[in-house]
Amino acid sequence: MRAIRSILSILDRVVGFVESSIASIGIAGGVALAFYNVVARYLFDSSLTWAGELTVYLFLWSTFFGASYCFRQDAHIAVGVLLEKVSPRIARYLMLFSYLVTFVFLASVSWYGYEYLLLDIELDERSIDLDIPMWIPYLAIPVAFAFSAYRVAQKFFATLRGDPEAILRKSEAEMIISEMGEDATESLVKDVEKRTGGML
Amino acid sequence: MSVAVLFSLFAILLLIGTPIAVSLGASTFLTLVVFTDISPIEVSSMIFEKIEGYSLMAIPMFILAGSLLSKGSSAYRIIEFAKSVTGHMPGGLPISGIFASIIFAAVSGSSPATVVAIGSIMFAAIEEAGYPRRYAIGTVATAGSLGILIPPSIVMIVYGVTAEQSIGKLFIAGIVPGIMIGTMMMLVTYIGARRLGFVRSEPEPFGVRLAKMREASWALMTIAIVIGGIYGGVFTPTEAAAVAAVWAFFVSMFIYRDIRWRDLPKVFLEAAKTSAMIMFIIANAMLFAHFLTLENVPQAITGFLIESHVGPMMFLLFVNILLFFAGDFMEPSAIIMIMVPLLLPVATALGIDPIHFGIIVTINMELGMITPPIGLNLFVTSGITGESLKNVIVYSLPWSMTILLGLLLVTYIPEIALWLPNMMYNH
Repeated sequence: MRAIRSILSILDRVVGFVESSIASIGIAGGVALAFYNVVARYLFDSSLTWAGELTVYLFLWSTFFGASYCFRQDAHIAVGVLLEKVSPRIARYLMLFSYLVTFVFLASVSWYGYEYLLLDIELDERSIDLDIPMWIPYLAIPVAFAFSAYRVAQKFFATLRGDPEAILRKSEAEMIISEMGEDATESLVKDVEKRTGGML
Repeated sequence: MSVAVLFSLFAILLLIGTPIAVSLGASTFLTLVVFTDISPIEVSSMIFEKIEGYSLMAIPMFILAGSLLSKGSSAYRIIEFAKSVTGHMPGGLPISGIFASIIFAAVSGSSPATVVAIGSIMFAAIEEAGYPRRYAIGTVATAGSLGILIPPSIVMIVYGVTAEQSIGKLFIAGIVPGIMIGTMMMLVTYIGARRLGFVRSEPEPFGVRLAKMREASWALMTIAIVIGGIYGGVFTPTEAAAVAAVWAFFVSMFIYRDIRWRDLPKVFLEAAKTSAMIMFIIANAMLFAHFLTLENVPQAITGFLIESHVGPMMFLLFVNILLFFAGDFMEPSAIIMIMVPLLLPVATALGIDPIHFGIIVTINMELGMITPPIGLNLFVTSGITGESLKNVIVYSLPWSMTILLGLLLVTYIPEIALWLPNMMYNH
C-alpha cells in the first residue's frame, strides 16, 4: 500500500513538472520565436520560413499541457449555479458525475488521438514548412489529454473520499484577487466565490 | 433531432458544473459519433487541427503581454497620468478613474483585473476627495469593461477568426465606439459632479503632467504598437502581438522593474494557464460550431428569419437581447464561437456589415461583465469594497446605462464603427 502511494506521488510530481514546464516554455518560446521572425523580416530581410509553423506548435503544446495544469488546479471556467442551490450531498453526486463525464471525454480523445497518431506514422505525413513527421507535434493530443484525464481522476477520487479541499472550486474572481496580491482574506475570497458561483 | 440532442447534452453538462470547454467538447464528441459517420479518430484530430490557425496565436501572446504589465506599478503610473490629464475638471477624480480603467483594461486584457488594480487605489481616493460613494464604485466597476473595445482585444480576435474577418479592421473599428462610449461615461460623471457643486481646480504644472505622461507612456506604447503597427501596415495582428509581448517584457523587467528574473517562471506559468483556459474553450467550441455547420443549422435559421420578414432593425434588437442573456452566463469566447456562425449568415443576408456586427457583439460581451445576475466586475467590486452586491449594482447604474445607450447608438448608426476602418482601408 505504501509502495503504491509513493509511486502515485512520484507520478503526480512528474506529471506536474512536465505539464507546467511545457505550458510555460511553450508560451515563452512561441513569443520569442514569433518576435525573432518579425525582427528578422524587417531588419535582415530574411525570415525563417519554418518559424510560423513552429510557433503554432509551441503554443498548441502550451495550450494542451496548460489545460491539464488547469484541470489539476480546477481552474477551468465552469458554471456553478446549480451546485450552489442544491444540498451538499446532491452537489457531491453531481460533481462526481461531472468528473466522470469529463474523464471519459478526455480519455477517449487521448485514446483515439493515439490511434490517429499511429495512422499518421503509417501514412508518413510531414509538416509543410518544418518538414518533420506530423506525429511529433500531434503527440500533444494523446499525452496531454491523458495527463488531463489523470488529473480529473484524481479530483474524482478526492471528491469520493469527501476531501473538502477538493470540493472547493477556485473561481475566476478568487484567482484574480489572489494573484493581484490584494488583501485576499479567506472569508473575502469565499464570499466572492459564493456570489459568483464560480462563473465568469 | 441531433441538434436538439447536442444542445440538451451541452446544457445538462454545463448545469452540473462541468467546465465549459468539456461541456462543449463532450456533447459534440458524443453527438458526432452517434449521429454521423465521422469516426472518433477524426474528431480527436480535429481538436488539434481546428486551432492551428496562425491568427489565433495572437491570443496567448496578448495574454502574456497583459500578465507582464498587470503586475506592480503600471496601474499606479497609469492612474497618475490619467489624473494629470483630467484631474482638474469638475468630477476630475472619478473621470480619471474611468480614463485609467479603460487604458489599463486595454493593456492588461482583463476587465475584472482592472477593477482590482485601479479600484484598490481609486475607490478610497475618490471618496476622500468628497465624492459620494457611487462615484467611487460605479465608475471603476464599469469602465474597465470598455477595454475589450480598445485594441488589443482577445474577444475581437476570436470574432475575427470565427467570422473570417480581418482582425486588423476589427481592431480599428473598435476605436471610435470605444472612445465615444468612454466620453459619454465621462460626460455623465462631469454633469453629475457639476450638479453636486464640484468646480474646476488648477491643473498640475505642465512639466509635471509631461513627466507623468512619460512615465505612463511605456505601458501606453503597448496600445500604440498594436494600433500603429496595424494601421501603418507594418504588422499583422499576430506579429503585433509578438512585438507587444516582448515590449511588455522589456518594460516590466528593465523600465518599471516590477518583475525580477526569478519571478519570470511564475509569470509565464500564469499566462500559460489563462491562455490554456481560453484556447481550450476555443478548441472545443470549434468542434461544436463545426457540427452545427455540418447540420446546416445556420442556413435553416437564415431561411426562417428571411421568410418571416425580419428586418435588420428587428434582427439586431433580437441579437442584442440574445447576446445580453448569453453573456450573463457564459464565457465570451464560447458565446462568440457558438453564436456567430449561427447569426452572421443572417446578418449578411440582411445587409449588415460583418465588421459592424463584430463590434455589436463585442459591446454585448462587455455589458455581460457589468450587469446582473453574474457580471464578474460587480462581484469583484463588491469583494474589494465590502459593499453589498445590490449596492454595487445600484451605484453602477448611471454608467452601465450609458454603455447600454452607447450600444444602441453603435447598433443603429453603423457609421460610428465603420467610418474609420472604411476610410483607412479604402485607399
